[in-house]
Amino acid sequence: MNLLPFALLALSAPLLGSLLAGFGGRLLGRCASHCLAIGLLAVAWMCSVTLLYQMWYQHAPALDWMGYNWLTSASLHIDFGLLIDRLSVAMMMIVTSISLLVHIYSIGYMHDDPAYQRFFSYMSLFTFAMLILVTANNVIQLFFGWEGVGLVSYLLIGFWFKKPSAALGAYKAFIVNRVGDFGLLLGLALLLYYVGSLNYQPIFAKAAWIAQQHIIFLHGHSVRLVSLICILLFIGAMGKSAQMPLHVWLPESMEGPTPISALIHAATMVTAGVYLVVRMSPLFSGSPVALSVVLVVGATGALLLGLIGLVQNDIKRIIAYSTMSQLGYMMAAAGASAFSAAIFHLISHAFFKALLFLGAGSVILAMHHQQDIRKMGGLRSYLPITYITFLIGSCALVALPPFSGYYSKDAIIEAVHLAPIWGGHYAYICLLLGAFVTALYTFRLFFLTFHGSPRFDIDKEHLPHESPWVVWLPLVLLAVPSVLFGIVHVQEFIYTSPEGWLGQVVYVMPALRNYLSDWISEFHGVFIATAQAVFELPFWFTIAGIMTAWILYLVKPSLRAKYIKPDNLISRILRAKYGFDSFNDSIIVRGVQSLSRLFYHIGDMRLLDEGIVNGSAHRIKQLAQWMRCLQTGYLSYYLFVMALAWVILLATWVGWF
Amino acid sequence: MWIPEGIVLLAAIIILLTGLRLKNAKLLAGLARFSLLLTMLATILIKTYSWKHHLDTLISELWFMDHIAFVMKLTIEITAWFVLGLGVHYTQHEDIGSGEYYALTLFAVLGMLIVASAAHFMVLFVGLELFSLAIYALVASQCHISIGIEAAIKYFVTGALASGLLLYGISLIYGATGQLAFVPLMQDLGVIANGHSLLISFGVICILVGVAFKLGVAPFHMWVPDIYEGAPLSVMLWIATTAKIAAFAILVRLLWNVLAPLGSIWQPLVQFLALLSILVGNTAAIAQSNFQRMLAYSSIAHMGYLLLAVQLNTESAWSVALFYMLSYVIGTLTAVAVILLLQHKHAHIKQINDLCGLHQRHPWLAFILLLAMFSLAGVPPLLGFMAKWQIVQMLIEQQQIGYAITAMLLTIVGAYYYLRIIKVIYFDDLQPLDPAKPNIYPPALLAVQPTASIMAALCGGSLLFLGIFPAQLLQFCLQVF
Amino acid sequence: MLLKEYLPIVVFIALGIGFGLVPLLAGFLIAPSRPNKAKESPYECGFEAIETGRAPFDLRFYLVAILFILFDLETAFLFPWAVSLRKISSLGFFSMLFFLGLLLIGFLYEWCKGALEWE
Repeated sequence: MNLLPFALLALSAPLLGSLLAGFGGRLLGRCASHCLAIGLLAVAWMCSVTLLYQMWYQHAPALDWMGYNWLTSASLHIDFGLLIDRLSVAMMMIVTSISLLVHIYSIGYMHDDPAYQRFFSYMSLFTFAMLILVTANNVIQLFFGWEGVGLVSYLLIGFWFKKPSAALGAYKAFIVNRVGDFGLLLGLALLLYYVGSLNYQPIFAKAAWIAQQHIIFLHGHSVRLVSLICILLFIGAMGKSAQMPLHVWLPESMEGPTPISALIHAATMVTAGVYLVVRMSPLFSGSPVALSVVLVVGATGALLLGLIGLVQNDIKRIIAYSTMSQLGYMMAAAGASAFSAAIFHLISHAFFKALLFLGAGSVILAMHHQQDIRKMGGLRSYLPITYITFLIGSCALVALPPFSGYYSKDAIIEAVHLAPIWGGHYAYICLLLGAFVTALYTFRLFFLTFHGSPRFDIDKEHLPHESPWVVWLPLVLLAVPSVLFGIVHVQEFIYTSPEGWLGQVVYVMPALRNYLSDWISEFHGVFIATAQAVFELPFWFTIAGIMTAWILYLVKPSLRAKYIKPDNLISRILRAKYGFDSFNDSIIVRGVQSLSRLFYHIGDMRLLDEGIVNGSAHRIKQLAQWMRCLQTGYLSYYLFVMALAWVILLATWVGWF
Repeated sequence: MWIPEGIVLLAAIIILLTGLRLKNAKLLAGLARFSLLLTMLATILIKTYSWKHHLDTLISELWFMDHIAFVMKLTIEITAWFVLGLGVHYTQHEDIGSGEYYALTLFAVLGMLIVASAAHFMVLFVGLELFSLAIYALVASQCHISIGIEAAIKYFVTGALASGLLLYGISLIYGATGQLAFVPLMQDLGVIANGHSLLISFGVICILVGVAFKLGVAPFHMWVPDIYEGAPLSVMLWIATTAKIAAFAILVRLLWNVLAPLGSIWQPLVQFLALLSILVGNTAAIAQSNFQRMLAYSSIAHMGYLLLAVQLNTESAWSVALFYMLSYVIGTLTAVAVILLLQHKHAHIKQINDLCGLHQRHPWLAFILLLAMFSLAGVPPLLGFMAKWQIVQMLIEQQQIGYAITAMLLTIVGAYYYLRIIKVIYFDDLQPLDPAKPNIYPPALLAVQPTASIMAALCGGSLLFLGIFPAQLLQFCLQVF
Repeated sequence: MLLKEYLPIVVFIALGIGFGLVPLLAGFLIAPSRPNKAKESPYECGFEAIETGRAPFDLRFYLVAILFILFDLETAFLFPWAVSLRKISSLGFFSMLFFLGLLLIGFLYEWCKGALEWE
């Protein structure tokens, strides 16, 4: 069966939807716009389902399609092509499913917004860019999608651009991502320089060769090429996937509408960095150094960023910090060469994190756009469906068996535990503690929001009530995979073959093999694995976290006041978010500002404006006037100039030789 | 083999004779365009036929039937078809659309087709004179306007001098080698390339001067602004596009098919001409207030960029030069097409300021003009950018980084006058033509011209389309040489 | 051998110079010299030797002159063609007919256009 038409249809349908809703939105009206956008997205979703079915159950071979040569310049070929393999199909599935549900959800959430059609247009455009990113068969196309999702993310964070904090958040996201993109671009440039091609296939074919190259750097320091490339690529991934220290934009991105937070800043776009690392696994597996960097950065983020979630009070920001922490888990898995586990967690995380965000959106709707959990409480009885689904999402997030998060996270922690790579022990400890922290902040959020007594002004007329069906239906639909995905697929995904479900897509060096594969023989079915949870450390860390939250926030809140002083050192550090923001503000922003002020006054105003720009403009204008005088209009003069030029040419030539 | 030329000749004669009685300009133009369509068809058919049967690309040392001839002919025919189609209303309105006008047009096409195929100096010269003389006469077709007559005389006299120099160069080469046919001559020159005499180098320089004049390259550019300004707009378009392609064909034939072994003589000279042209064209254009004069200097600059590729004298450089030529022709065609559509019955668009506020009256025409200006200036993602980029890349590959930098700096200077047009049409307010009649604004449609409008949109669209998807066209150009 | 081939040219040049010089010299030597004002002026065709350059001059003179040159040249082409007709086969014959046909069309055009009528 030919997969190509489905892939192309899946790509073009969201683009068409975006164009229709964007340019024809005013003509079509609200209802037709969202119907078209959702309908076309459903088409893309069905195509993704077909592709997944073909790849998974029919074992269709991967499709590497070289479509169109966009630009040829000497040895540089820039093509439009598609690579449809298990990895990209899995990503397509996630992107289209979550996007479809979020589209439906947005009908209810954005109901009162005047820029309704624009919102749908952006979301469809995002889906298109994300699909381009995951289906590209070359890094330039990936970069196009990468920048495309970055652009739409910017547009959507600043969707309410009249709100200063939203506009600033959009700026911040854009600028911080530029830092990451800088690294990514440098990595791509190195690849182009050494491989001479930007398509995956030749790059991967030369991976072994790249791994042996060294480049001389600054006075003879030799650096392994592959490590340099991988670390540069990882810097790009850090920007997009909000890894420390480039995570600072993600909390600010919560200024955007909540559906966007669910779609872009939790489920799909932020996982692009993980996708990049997994996609580039043939390169990464050639560099233990780069893998260690990935592992350590990921694990550090998983713990430290989760800790910040403990002191946040904004319902969306807590989930945002949780997202960063979970992305850290995925990165750590990739660093431990457990690429299948990383993707497995990516998928299950996409479901339950989208569920949590959309649930938070439902709460925010019910609370009339109040986002502070200190002013909530006791919402259980008002929002029963949201309550149940949010509970499911929380259980999945803290990795309670048998929810989906348990299987993926457990696999990651085990993989990191077993990996003999430098930094593995440190990472293991971080991730274990992270499990405790995750449980703590998640259930703190959960108890403060839904349990206890209401802390908002109860107005008998306007009691909080459950949202319309377009809002709760996606919650229910997302709750199903949040429960079942792990239990159904874990064996096939991780414990069947040494490389996991991704198989040939990823490449692992023998020395750094995926140690999870040792467990294949000891894996006796998913139910036994679930039951074994009680013998494992992470499970008890999680339980401890939940119990702590239960005691501190529900049973005996007085303990908090007794033992935790609000201004002790740790909570001050956490509230300051380790000082990243103030560091950026005081050193980088102010430094750059003063430097640019210097350049502006001396370099730009004096030298460039007065000297070069205006000066050269004046010179050129003078020259133009002078040339104009040459054009006298007399025929004899023209003939004279021609003849003179001819004679001069002859004379120069004679003089030359 | 001579069917395309035969069709054009026959059509020219028929139009010449019927034009004596028939005064319907539309019908004559239709006839001319129909004959051009037939010619295109014949050109393509003959090419495919000779390709299938592997016919010789050279016929009796006089006539090339190679890829270059095919591409040049087809480009000339298509451009001529566009120029005629765009000018129909204008010629009618200006009352110059007589039988002679269209007959001369077709004679010019005939000359250009001969030039494109010439494999012999005499054939080349006859073709050159045929189209030059026809264009001299066309420039004077508005014989009641003194500026038109002045332009024609200037063009004729300077052109005669250039033709004389070209002929002189040819005779010097002939005197040194005894050959006039290109193929044996090139072989002979290849043998003596290292020990060439003063005679040959003087001949090469004279030939170069003659071709430089036809291309309008500084310092042989003095005629260009005056003729562009004085000629009727439709004839100006003719000179700016079709005649330039023909001149490029001459350049290809002479420098690539004959004098390529003597590159050491003409390459430095062409470099000099190229840089001088870019400098003169881009700077002098800034001071212009007349739209046609501005386009004239713009064409001088563009021919400079073209020569910058030509001076490399490699196959790929010539291909890039062809690509650049096509981008220049489409850009100019688009720009002038918009102006042709905009002629008002009370006044012509002559000055740049006549275009003030075009955007408010005709947003689509303004947009097409914007595309043309951006493409000529070399702004991505339009065709002009791709063309300039190819040339710069080629220069850098050949280690001529200084030339690349100079060319790009002068492009920035050139961007000024293109952007000024865009500023005028988008950001300036409408200005009434005559203070007494505040309702008449200069940028008004001459008449509703669906065909010409579609053609203009087609040109503008192709600038955008080929700018985004240049690969096929580039591949095509690479296969020509 | 080469130089020998140029001998007729030398003869032609000598003859040409002779044709120009001999009558002049003969007139100078033999003719009686009785100058008057009318005789001293350079031309005797009715134009003043020195007058304003903007004097109206009938364009039809030029038209006739140009047309004359055109058809005169045609005859000049016909001579060598007629002489070598036997050697240049039917291609040569029909080439000239084609050329004459084109000229005929030109002639037709100028006739219909009225260029041959004085008024």
